[in-house]
Amino acid sequence: MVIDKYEPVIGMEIHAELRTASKMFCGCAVVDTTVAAPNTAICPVCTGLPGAMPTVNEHAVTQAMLVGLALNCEINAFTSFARKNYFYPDLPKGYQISQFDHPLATDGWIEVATEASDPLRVGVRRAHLEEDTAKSFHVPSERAGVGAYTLIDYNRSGVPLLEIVSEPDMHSAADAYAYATKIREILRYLEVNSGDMEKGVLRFEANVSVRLRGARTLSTRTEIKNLNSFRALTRAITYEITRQMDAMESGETIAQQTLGWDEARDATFVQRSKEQAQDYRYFPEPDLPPLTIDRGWVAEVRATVPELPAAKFARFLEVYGLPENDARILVAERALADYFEHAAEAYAKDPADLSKWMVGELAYLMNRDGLTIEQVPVTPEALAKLVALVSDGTLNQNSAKEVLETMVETGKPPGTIVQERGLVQISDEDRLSQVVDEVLLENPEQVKSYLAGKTSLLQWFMGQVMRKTRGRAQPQMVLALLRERLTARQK
Amino acid sequence: MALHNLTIQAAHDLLRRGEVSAVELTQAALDRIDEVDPAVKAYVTVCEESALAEAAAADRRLQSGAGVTPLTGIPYGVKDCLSTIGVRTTCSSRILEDYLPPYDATVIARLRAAGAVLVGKQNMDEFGMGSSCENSAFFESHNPWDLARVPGGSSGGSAAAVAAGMGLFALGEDTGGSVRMPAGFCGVTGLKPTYGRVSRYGLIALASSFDSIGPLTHDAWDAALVLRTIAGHDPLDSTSLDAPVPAYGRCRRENLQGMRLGVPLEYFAHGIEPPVAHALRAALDHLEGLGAELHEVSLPHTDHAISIYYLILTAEASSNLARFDGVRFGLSHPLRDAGEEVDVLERYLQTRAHGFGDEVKRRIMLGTFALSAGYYDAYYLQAQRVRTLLRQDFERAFEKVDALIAPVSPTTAFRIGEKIDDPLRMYLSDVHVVAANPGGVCGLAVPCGFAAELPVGMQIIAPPLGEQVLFDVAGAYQATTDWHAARPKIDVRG
Amino acid sequence: MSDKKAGSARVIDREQVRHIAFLIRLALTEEDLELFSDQLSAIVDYFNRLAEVDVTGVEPYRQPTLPRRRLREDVVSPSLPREAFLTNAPDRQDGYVRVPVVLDVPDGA
Repeated sequence: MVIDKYEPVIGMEIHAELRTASKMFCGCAVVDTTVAAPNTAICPVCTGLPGAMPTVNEHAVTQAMLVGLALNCEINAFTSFARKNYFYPDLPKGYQISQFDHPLATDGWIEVATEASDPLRVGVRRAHLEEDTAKSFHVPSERAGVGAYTLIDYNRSGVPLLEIVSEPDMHSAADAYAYATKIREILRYLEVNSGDMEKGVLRFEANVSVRLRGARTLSTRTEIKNLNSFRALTRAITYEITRQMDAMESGETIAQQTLGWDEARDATFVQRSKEQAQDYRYFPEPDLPPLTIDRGWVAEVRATVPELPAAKFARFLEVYGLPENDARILVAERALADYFEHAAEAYAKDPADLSKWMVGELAYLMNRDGLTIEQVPVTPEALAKLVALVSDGTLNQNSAKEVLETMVETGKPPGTIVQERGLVQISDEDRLSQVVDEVLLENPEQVKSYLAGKTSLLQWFMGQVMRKTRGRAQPQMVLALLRERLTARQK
Repeated sequence: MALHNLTIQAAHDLLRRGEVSAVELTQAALDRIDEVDPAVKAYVTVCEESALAEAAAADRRLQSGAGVTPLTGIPYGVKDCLSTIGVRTTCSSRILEDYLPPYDATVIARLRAAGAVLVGKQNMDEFGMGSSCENSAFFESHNPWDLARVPGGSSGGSAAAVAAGMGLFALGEDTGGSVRMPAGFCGVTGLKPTYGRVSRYGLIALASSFDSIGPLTHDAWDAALVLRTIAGHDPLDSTSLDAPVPAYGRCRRENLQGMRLGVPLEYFAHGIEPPVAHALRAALDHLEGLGAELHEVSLPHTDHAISIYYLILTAEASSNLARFDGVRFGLSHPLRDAGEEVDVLERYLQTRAHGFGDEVKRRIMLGTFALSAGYYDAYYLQAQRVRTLLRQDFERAFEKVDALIAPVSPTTAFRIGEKIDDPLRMYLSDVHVVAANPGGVCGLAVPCGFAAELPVGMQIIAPPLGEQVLFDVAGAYQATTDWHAARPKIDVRG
Repeated sequence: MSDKKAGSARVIDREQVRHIAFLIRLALTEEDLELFSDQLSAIVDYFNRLAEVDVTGVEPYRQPTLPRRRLREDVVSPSLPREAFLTNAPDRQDGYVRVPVVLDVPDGA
């Protein structure tokens, strides 16, 4: 296999908008640019008017430090901004204020779960602050090349952006997917980014090269820009790996290029060759003195780093005894994990039972109604109560599902719903014996068939009992009674 | 003395005593503009209507007595690189010919709050690039002492306006001598404060790490009054200093007893025209007579100041001027070029080719070169290293002396057209003033005599935040000389 | 300097001027290239004297650093009225700034 002969090497750059109130270098509001009217959150600074000057948003630095610490980075005591010079209509000043030789955070790492048994450790080379560009809308023309134009909205211009640069430690599209997912999960945990790919608050770039397996040096790489979904990320990397392996197989050399990803054609395309490579002429931003990050500030931020998914996962297994799969689903989102822990406080008896309901029925209903855990009107305490009602035999599974559905729809507590609907489980043996006897008496044909060996009819008898009790019968007890009565007739 | 020729202090006294109104004072400045500006050409824009309205407001303030400052009702002009809300701000460039800033520069806001009256915007070398005001895209300004000569640059319009009585003071901007040099050529007092002393917010940047806004006035105490108003930390400018602002000029020294003044060898070494050298010699003698001790000092890296200055300046300017791209404001190449659709690249190329003058093009290309791959270390970074040495020169000198005395320029004002075709020679005319900016010090130019009826300037240089020392030395000098009181006779018939 | 022959050992030749001018988006004529090549070469030649300075152990100058208290608090200030911004725009549409079609590939980001 060709794939066995080669080893892909992948590095990633992730651009994440930070969730501050105001922009990176001015007081303009950070707004949802997919909703806000164009050019309504702007000022001389973020539109690059002559004479305007940047000022550093302290909270953006704090958020960037928080991410840096969560990614096990060093937070540098000296950090500075630089100008990256290039022309593009979405870049008002003709340069982007970024960081170059003194980034805020360097030398970190994270562990990523992959198909391999051991987690993959991916180095984080640096995380630095910069400003986002304006948003352009390309309006194509009816006739090719004539009348096409671009509209620009500066609301996004200057939104704080954190660029997270990985080491080339990944070797497949799946690795990259897992890494990107992990970064997204951490950013959401830290509440510095919504992770909403459709709103463009998170954007990916990948560097891909392929070398002969066992080779120690890196080969020529290509850089794929503007990968704005996980799907695009995976498909573009897969495509690029195959393209490069095919090229190497047929003896072609790989050119150092910047590529774009054509979603419609499902292929990469050349944006710029090495010869056309930009000369960004980085130099220290003279309008912003470098920053001193005092150690007290770092300690203050470090104290606010929440428990991250990996640690939480381990604790959920250890403390609550959850199955791995449930724990993985719950820790993927901080709100979900918090919800679970609140519920577990109210129902310490069997947390695994709680997690089963959360990742099962509750997740199904939330998904069906398009609700997030923050939106769902069921409190953790209410869910705990519901599970307790099942556990103490008040409700059977089916009734409980019905109750939960009503809880999700109305927000009413489970006790109220149970009373209103008369859903309390019948586990009175005398009452159930009566019903079982009625069913057997009313269906002599089926009894005969059962006794003749068609034991699968047991479920059918069960159904009849449930019908008569409107689903409230305690199933185990019904089953036991049916078996007992039928066995008695056999003799 | 005619109303248009008063110092700020004299005008303030008259205003306070009610002997003249702010409207009269402003009208006198406007009349003077009508009379002599067709010959001097200092102003790009005159805001007659708003000036008279501001003056009327100042009169109400003066009558009520509440919130009166020494600048209330004082008419002034500003170099056209300072943003003024709703008043076009051009930097004397085609590319900004019709640009209307939606906000005021911090210094303008502070002067407005103090009640000063803005009469107009003054001509300059395009974006501050030049030493003669010949690089204005609109017209050349003329030296009021000899209309065939340049007023100096780049704040040439500002210096010429103050010298000619078109406004009682002006705000200029000094990146590498752009206030001091034209002040010297026009016989007025010009201050380059310490970098960061005055907010740059709203100043259309030439070189962000050198640009310093400073006043041009008739004497040092007027400069102190203006500085007191415009200085101080500004949260909108991260490079502004948060050092407290002293009441500049309030304590005035009678003499210079105990003051140690340094005479830098390198600044007197060569190339100074004999009449200029003669006037400076006389000034040094005068200062000694006032009680100052003179010491020879050495600033060994002076020879490299021009290179340091131009490399860093052009690098920063190449980036600062990238925003003039015809997208959001200013000149823009038409969408259709002779019926052909133009793409955005073509718009950039043509807008900037048509919008910038040759000197601007030269400098932004030089700066791009100095920052480009393969040259950054040898040019930009080397300049920043030698800049460290240049700063150390000043630090060492100021261990021994309180201030330095130097020429402003090696010559008096040169003729219009004399140097315009030789950019390098033009750069070299800034040799005595550029070092202060990369050097991190402050400087003041004051008139100290005449050579062939043209003013000669003396430069006083003090350590960072040593503006009061400048005022002390210049104040004592001007209290005992009258070069600063001379006013040109302008031949308006041209 | 204008007496130098075109193409003779100029520090910055025409091709370099062409490249630099493109980087900062300046259209130049053939005459411009010639003139600027001459003038820039003379100036850079003068700058080359800077290389003679011994800078062993000398750090490039940089501004004093800002402490945390000098950074801006994350507080929203009002937007510029859209009209005050768009009034200067050469070309606008529906509240947006409008530019000719972007044929050229993105330079950056």
